[in-house]
Amino acid sequence: MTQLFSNLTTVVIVLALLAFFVYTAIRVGPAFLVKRLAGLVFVLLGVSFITFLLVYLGAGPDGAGTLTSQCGQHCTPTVLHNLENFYHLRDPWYQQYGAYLNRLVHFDLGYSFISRERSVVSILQSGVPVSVQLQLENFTVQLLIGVPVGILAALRAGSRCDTFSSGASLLFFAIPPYLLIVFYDITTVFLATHHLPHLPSSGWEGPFSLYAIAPVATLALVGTAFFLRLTRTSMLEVLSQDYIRTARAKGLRERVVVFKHGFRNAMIPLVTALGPALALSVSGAFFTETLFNIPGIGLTTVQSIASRDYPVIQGTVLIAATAVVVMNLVADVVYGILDPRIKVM
Amino acid sequence: MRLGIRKLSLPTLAVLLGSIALLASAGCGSSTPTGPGDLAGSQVYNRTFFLAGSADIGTFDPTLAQSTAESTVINFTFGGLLTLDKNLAVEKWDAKDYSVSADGLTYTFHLRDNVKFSNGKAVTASDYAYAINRAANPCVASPLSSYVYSIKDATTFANETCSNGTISAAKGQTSPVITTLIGDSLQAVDNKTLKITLQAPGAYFLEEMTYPVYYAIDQAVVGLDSTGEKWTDTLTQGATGQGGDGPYYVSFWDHATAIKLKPNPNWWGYVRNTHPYLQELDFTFFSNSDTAYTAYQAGQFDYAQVTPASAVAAARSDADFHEITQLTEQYLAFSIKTPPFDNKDARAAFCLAINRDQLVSSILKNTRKAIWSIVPQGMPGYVANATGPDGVTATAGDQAKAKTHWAAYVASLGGKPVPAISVLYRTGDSTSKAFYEAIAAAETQVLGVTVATKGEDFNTFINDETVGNFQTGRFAWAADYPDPQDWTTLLFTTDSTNLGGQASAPGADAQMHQADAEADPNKRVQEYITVEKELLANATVCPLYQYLYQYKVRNYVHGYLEDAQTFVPLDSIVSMYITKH
Repeated sequence: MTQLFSNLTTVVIVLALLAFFVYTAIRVGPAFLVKRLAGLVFVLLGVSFITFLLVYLGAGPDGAGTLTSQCGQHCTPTVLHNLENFYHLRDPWYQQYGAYLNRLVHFDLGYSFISRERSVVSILQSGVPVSVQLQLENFTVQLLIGVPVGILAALRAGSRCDTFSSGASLLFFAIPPYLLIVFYDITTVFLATHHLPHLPSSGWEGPFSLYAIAPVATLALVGTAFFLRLTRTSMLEVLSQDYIRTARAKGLRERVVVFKHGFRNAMIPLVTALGPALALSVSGAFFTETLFNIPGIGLTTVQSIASRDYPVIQGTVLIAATAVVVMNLVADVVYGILDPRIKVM
Repeated sequence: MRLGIRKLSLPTLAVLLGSIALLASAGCGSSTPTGPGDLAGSQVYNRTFFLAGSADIGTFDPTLAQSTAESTVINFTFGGLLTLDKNLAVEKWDAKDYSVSADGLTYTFHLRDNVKFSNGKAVTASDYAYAINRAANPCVASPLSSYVYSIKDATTFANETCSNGTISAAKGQTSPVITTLIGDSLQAVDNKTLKITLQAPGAYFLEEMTYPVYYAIDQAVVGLDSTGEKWTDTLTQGATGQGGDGPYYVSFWDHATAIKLKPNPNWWGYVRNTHPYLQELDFTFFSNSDTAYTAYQAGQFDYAQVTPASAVAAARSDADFHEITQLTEQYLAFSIKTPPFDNKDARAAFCLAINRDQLVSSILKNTRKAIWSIVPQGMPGYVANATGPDGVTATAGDQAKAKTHWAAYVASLGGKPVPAISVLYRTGDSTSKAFYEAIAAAETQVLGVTVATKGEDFNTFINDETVGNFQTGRFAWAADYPDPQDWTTLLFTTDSTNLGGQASAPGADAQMHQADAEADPNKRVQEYITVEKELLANATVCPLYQYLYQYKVRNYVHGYLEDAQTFVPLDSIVSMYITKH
């Protein structure tokens, strides 16, 4: 349990969530919060059982074949047998699930099948915060650029500004991020070879270091285009509404019309898109993390699937499920703030 | 008359003197230093060697480590009684001397006087006994337990069952349950003397002892936990780390980012004025080796493997490029109990139909070396022009002879159909699929029979291969220690725990066990060569290629080298240095 809170990012996220829950309880009522959190428990129970079944059926009753990566070319029936005993894979299924649930309650997700010295919690603890940092920075850039430009494009629909931004967003959509990374690498190597100033080609030293610039830029490109277009479309729809015409007729300043009346309603689709996207940020960005050598959870997740490291797969699925449920809750509450007509149920 | 001398103006004199000084210093800088002693202290010391490594190691525990990356860092931080020099010859390390009894069963080692763990605690003979016993302990479930099978009772001990820390007899075991080898075949006679008793004479035992599973481990650090699976998390504790007695200690280990090592001030080498010259070694983890190489090219690191294969050709002409022939081979293995490969002609045909030269060139971009030998180049017992089935020596194979053998096999079926044939390979490897599909296509073209391919993930693949659940497929083997026994007896006897224990040749079992016990090293090597000839003639296995390893290291890093096992020899570890740059 203490492992979970040894990372600053984790602590900040947990505190933010706690603050949000307190706010929700005050604004909407504690009954609503309790109901949704109880739902979360049932979701996690269901997810834990499904992932346990996958492990049990995949590994087989005696774990055959799942632990061979620990011994590689030195695998013998005896070594495998003893490894299976080590992981209790020869116990009856109900015993294994009971032990798993017991560990879960104590925030213990077991040990990796690839490296028995590494607990799943330590693997997730080292990777998830980095991925979350990367993605939070990524979404911040996307929103800071995509949303204002989208609003501008909507306000000047049909103008050269609108045409240019739409064209640029289409271009950004078309270019895959991994292609950008390859171009970036080629450029960096060229600059380094000619002793010219350049950004690092790989590594990670926190979201505010030079190492963050390139990965965030490559990740944010497609997302920026997406939010730009979504904001533009949403704003155009809202700006054509009668209440906007009324607000203007009342003589309100354009800034008030656009932001207080227009954008506030246009944000609802953005929240719908942002909620799940933020939730899935705990799964990391596989290509970006691999090609920039960022120690996030993205590559770990893919590798654990490829190598059938079931305890790690279980852990990442549980974390992702928790994040989706929590972010859905956050989105629901935010809807109610943006539009009081939407009742939070 | 003055001859050719004229008065020099001050500016001209200044330029002249400056040029002389520049030439003199350039001349000094351009000569290659032969050792750190040639250079001023500021040019040599206080330098960090940045290596772009592979992904995080699975374990730092010498009892469990089996990958090259794991063994590399363990070699820097732990020590054994014996080690290998850069030519893979056994040399004494923590041991001052050793002796072998006349019957070849008892080995006695005497420790040096000042062997200490990095935290200053003295290393004793019982630390070695503890480590070796741990490798055989079924509760530890070490994948390397077979390395200690030479030791008396170790096989029985390792094959017993452990459940919740309790050891019980294996199925069918009639002898009493063994719960430890210490006091039996492993004896710490006193603090400085270790006695090991073997099950049978084995001249390869000294080579086996160079493997990390024989390194000293601090029992106090491992703790009372019988498996001790979490003890390596404490390696960085204390001012100079703990747990190992190597030339370096672990100063930092973050599973997400890097391992950092610093010189161990308690290492015995300081007494004889041999000590590491680097301030620190920084192994940064890279999940993708291509990214690591790009980072090297971008100037971020001092060392990286050259990858992918397409980058090797361009890098060959660079001054910092190095290539070594690894003691790792890839074969096409046969399950000789499974049709059609229970027939020698079928195996020979399959083997001869493969054009290794073409495959290595077109698919592997010459990053491998086509071979016929089972024992690889660089290993005692290597035969340069090994002969494959039917006397073929060309690595391009012989398609005509392949067809002849196949026709003989078909004739032996007496009209029955040829069974469906599938070549098994391991997925997740960037070239495996293309390589084995090319082999299947070649077999189809040359032999006129449809050959399919089947890819399996690593776990399933290893499992199927170990129990012999395949017809033919990829098999790779990396040297555990530089002895031909590792390439013959360990793989091709019917009681081998590899390849389902069924890849063999008539009479080969007895020959291999005889060679294992032979005391005369030259005679031993000749016996293994004879065995290899028979295995190849019988087409027991079909060697394909030997691995080459390409890496780059900056020119200002001196003394760094990797041996054929891609380990950094201890001699190199303690003599590496970096010049000012």
